[in-house]
Amino acid sequence: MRGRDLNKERLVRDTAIQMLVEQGLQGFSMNKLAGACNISVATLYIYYKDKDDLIRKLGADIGGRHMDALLSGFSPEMRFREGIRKQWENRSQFYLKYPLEAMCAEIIRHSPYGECMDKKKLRTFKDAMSAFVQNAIDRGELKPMPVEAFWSIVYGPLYTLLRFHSEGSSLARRKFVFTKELMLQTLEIVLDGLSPSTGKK
Amino acid sequence: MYSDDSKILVFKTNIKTFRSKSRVQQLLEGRDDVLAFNVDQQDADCVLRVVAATITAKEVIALVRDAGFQCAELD
Repeated sequence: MRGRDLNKERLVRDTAIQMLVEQGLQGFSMNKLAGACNISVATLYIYYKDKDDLIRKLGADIGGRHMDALLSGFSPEMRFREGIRKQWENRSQFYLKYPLEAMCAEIIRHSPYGECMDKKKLRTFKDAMSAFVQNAIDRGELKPMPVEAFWSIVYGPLYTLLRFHSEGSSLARRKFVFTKELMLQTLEIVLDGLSPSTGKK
Repeated sequence: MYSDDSKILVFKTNIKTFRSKSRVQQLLEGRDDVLAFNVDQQDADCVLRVVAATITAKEVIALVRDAGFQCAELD
């Protein structure tokens, strides 16, 4: 008979995140995780029913914290430039502070476990972002466009910079460190490109 | 969540097939001394996990073995 140990639970959680990021979902198993944590498989089953349960709980936990972080200090009423800047700040802060969690959330979100995300939080998040974009379009601050085009243009450049940072190098192995200055410089270019006043020449 | 009195018992088994899982479900379902259980058939050890109210590991092993399966407590 076994009880819960919060330190061990934390170790299991952190190691699982690291393994998922390094090895992906395919290579992940309860046995490997137990080995990596230096605990028995039986102990692992105290915290989680099975592998699916573990991944779903991790996804819900990380996803929830991620969405909370993204909405911090953000309001759908913000002007477009101000709101996107807040998003870039929130997203970069979360990524830099919790790089493994951010990458793990990404892996889980794009997997069959993607539906494990906290539905209420997801709804709040989606509603806030949709209202923000709609407000920007209504105010003439943003050109209407398909959501995929919007997301890839608005956030693609940020995540590319963050990926360069986590790899420590950019193109042709040039040493790279993410800075706020570079982030803001890139953001300006993105915002100018999205502005309806930037017409075709 | 379960009360603090509940205990989690974990066993290595050979409950590999859907049919054998159904058989074990019949054994453990509806018992007052078992709060919940599941078999992780994705795991090599086909781990049987029992959230016990009052049932003991020995009693689970006896039940499962009587049904013709291997069952040993995982340490």
